Amino acid sequence: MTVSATAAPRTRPAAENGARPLRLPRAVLPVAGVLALVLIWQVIGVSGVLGRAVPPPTAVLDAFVDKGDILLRAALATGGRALVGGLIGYLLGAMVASVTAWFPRSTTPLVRVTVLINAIPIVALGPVLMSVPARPFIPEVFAALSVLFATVLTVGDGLRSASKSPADVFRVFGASRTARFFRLELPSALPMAADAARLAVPAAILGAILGEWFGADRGLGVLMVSAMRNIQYGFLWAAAVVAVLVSVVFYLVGTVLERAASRRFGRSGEAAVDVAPLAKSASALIGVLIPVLLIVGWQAWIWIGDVPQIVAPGPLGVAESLAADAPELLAAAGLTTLSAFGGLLAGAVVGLALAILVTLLPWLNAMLSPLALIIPTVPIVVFIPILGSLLGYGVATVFASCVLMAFFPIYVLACSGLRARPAGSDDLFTIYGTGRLRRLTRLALPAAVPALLIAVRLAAANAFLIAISAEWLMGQGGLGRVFSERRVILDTNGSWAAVVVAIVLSVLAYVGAAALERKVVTRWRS
Amino acid sequence: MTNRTARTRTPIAAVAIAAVSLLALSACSSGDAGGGAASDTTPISFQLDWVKDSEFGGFFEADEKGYFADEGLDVEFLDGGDVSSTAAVIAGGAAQIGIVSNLSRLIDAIDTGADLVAVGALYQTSPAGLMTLPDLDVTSVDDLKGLRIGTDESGTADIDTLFRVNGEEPDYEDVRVGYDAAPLFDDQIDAYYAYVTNQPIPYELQGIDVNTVTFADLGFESYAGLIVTTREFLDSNRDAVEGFVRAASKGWSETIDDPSATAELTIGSYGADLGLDEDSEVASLTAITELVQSDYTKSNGLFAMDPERIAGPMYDALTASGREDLPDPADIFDTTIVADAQD
Amino acid sequence: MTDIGIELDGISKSFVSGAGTVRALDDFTLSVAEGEFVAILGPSGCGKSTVLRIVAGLDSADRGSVTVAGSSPQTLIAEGALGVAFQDNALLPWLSVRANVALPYKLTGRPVDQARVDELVALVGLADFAGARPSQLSGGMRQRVSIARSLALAPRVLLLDEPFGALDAVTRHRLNVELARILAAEASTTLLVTHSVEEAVFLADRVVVMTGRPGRVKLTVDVPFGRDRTKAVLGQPEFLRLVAQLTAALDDDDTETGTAA
Ligand SMILES: Nc1ncnc2c1ncn2[C@@H]1O[C@H](COP(=O)(O)OP(=O)(O)OP(=O)(O)O)[C@@H](O)[C@H]1O
Ligand SMILES: [Mg+2]
Repeated sequence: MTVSATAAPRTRPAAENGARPLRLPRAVLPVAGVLALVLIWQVIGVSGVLGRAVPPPTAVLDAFVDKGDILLRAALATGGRALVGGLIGYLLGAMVASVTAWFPRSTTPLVRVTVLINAIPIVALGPVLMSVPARPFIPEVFAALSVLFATVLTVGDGLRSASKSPADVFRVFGASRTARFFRLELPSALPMAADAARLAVPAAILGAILGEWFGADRGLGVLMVSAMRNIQYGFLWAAAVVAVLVSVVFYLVGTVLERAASRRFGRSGEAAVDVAPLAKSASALIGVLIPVLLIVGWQAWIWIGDVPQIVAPGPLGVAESLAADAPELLAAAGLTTLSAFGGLLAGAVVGLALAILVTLLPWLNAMLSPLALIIPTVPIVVFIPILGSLLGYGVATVFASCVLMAFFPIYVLACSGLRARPAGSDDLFTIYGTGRLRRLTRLALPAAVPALLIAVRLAAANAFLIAISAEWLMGQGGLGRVFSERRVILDTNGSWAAVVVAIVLSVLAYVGAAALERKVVTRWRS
Repeated sequence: MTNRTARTRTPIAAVAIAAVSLLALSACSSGDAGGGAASDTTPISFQLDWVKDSEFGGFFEADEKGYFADEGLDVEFLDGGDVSSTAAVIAGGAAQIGIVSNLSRLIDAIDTGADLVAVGALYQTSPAGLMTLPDLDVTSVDDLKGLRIGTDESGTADIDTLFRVNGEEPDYEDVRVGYDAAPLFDDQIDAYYAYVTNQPIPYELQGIDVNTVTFADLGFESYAGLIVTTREFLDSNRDAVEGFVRAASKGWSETIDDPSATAELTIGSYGADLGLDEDSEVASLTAITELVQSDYTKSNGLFAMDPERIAGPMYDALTASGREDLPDPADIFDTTIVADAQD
Repeated sequence: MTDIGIELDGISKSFVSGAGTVRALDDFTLSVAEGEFVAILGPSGCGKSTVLRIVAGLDSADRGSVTVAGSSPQTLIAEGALGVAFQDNALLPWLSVRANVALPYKLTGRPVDQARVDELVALVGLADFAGARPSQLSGGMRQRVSIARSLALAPRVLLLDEPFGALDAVTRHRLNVELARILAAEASTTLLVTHSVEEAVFLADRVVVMTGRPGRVKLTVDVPFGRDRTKAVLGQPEFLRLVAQLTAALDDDDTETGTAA
């Protein structure tokens, strides 16, 4: 039933080709949008209102002319690492998601493990990886880790989104589990899998760039730290622009794939969280078992590998630090939580607002379309220092970083959620002459709720990571700052204690968001 | 490039559940390369504490001219974007020799049980210091009281120590600005924690006046750019370490003689992927050569460490910083390597 | 019954998609008087839904003219005077049955006539399910919600696309009777698409049979019973004769019948 209804608005009647003259202004708007952006940037750069750290585009252009070959080599290096790492993370994620679809009961434990892995701050992993054989591949590892989590969740939801009636058809015909998976669930998941790929692009590039900060001989991340310390602002921005361009290229490929998948396989909008829950006791057991296993594994690594404490401390030492510094860690955790949640909330509001605006105003949509393409691909962490010079070095910058990071997944998923309307509902609204605003409040927004909840779940899991990274770079307090202070005096027990608190908070945030989603989303299933 | 595959040769520091996936990743690479190196050369992974810019120029010079090879060493430079991690990399065995940025870091690392030994010090005077606008001339720690000081991760601890070594409690507003000096010019901070051989240079070249002062000028002395290895490696490869120091010393002598040649080598080859500016690098390296030499090195050779200075003002500063139970300097500084390296 | 309710004159419509061009309608002409009830019969895929969509202004005709209630579908829509029960019911999954039926009031910005909403919900036999969500309903129950919703605003023009398709014979029959009663009272101009010949004859003033694709009018039959007809007509010989005539017309369709659902 979905097929005929969603196909209808897409098909152009044969005789209706008088739309030609509209084409020109449509192409003009995005170009105007980009030009306006560059112009504003030039004015800001030349006037210096945002300080020295923002050079005009002409200065960036100079850097391109002078050092184009270096930028190209760096882009290829970083792009390659992001691609390799991102693909590995994506495939791994898709595999885990498939396992959860195949064996629904494995979902809770598997997702928990990925949530836990995702909650480990990369900045804490970097120094450890520098001392293990994986060292040359830190950027790839970071890229893979950055991609894994969102992929598991999004692809998993896609696999479970297969409409019920075709699923029943498969059952009736006695199709094997394999056939059902490959012929029904996998195709139904393709649109969301493509979404996941698009989400993965900036994540992989950001991961690769961060990884390069922990020792690589070339790459955009290396260029950025070097240019920053050598006050080569034009060059720094040129490197950031290249990072965005690399993202845009990958992202465009992802978008093309997504469009194709959506057109071919239809988007069912609903992401059913229809997982057979484990018995309470089993679920609690696993909840305890996994962390315990991880801690045992960690201790085993320390013992068997005879790892010096300076490389990584043992769980016992960390526990001691946790106990000794409990009051300080709690206070820091409070501040971090404030930034993370506040940022999540504000980012959600901004992301949703922009998605709505773009849905409501076609001309704005056209004008912002290049921006909408660029914004999600900007490696935000690169701009934390610039945020600092704008907003001062403290809570405001940490908060703004959290807002920016939460904004991205919420904007992307809100945009696709706002389009995922129930079959035929658009026609219904048309025959009652419903205006744009009512269509938004009564149709698009409610229809977007499931997608928004996924976005919030994703953003919640990452909110603490971002807060901690920003605090680490320029916070005056919070867990990130505690981590940094302990780290610099090589107090690994102390710095990991802060990390452990952050991990616990991250996992709690995710579990909370997931519970909220489960509660609400049952209402949305048709 | 060549470095990437060669790196997998580093001894396995750990085998771990956590590393299984990482190992799977490294298995995708071309595996161990450089296995064909002649058996009489000793491979040395040398961990830098920053990206390959000209502050390591003398080492590049030694490599380029073949001084390392002459000593039977096959040296591979490991970039270090993360200053705090180098001691861990050396202690963990992923690098045999490395640069630990200053004395406090070395002491902190040893405090965790890491078995490290410093065999030389590149900087006789630490380049760590402050950068201010021309209207603020800092001559003593009193001038800093109540000011907003821009720091990065390492800066806060250093500035606290600076106050304490002068018998004062830290009295300044710590603004964590990272690697960016711009806030100084935007009146967001009054002083900026910097390496005086580094951040001020581009401004000076642009004709923007800035004042600089090192912590040493303000009474806080420390060696910097320590050449560090593990006790274990030193004991079993003493000749290699000595050869490394000898070759590096030759390289740095040439750098001191002609900083611009070394800067050129760095920009064109070792740091070719960094987009470095020639003028900046030459100026920076020239400033570095000043700090690398002292009266003590003139009579004892480059990298030489003066036990009296260590036990005196440097240990005083460490004590002032609140560090307790400092190790006996004789256990963690081996001054004989540099001495033996002087043929 | 002098004013024209719906006037379709020489309508043609083709669909272009990746697979090629489908000619759905070709020179389709139909005139429905104000307040008249016309039922459309035709093989699957012959363009019945397309006719309704064109009347509703959801699709535009390639050729031919469309007049609805004296002007265009858009005018009718602007007045909130159009009711449609879609073939795929188009319920909003997050709203209860009652809220789905009340939706047209909300969409046109009118105050909800709760009494009428409840009456319609009861009329389609869902009083016990007024608070349920669509996911908790059977297919036929959903269709009934959709019918109730189409009637909410007492539309001047009512378009029903196989509204009883998923219903059992008994319920279907009961609803036919109820619908006949309600429509007699409200005098909407009604187009009903159905596959049930009995239903068409029982409800309509006139029955139109379409050819296979591309759809054209093949046969028009007037039903002589008054609008206040009861179950009693079902047994009358005239009724049976009409049913037989229409069934025959459907049967001897020589054109290819569509496959689209
Ligand atoms: N949006 C569309 N795009 C492409 N083809 C379409 C579209 N809508 C309808 N068609 C084609 O037009 C033809 C008529 O479709 P329509 O839905 O009007 O048939 P119908 O008579 O209502 O059939 P049924 O009784 O099965 O509902 C079909 O062959 C269908 O394939
Ligand atoms: Mg139809």
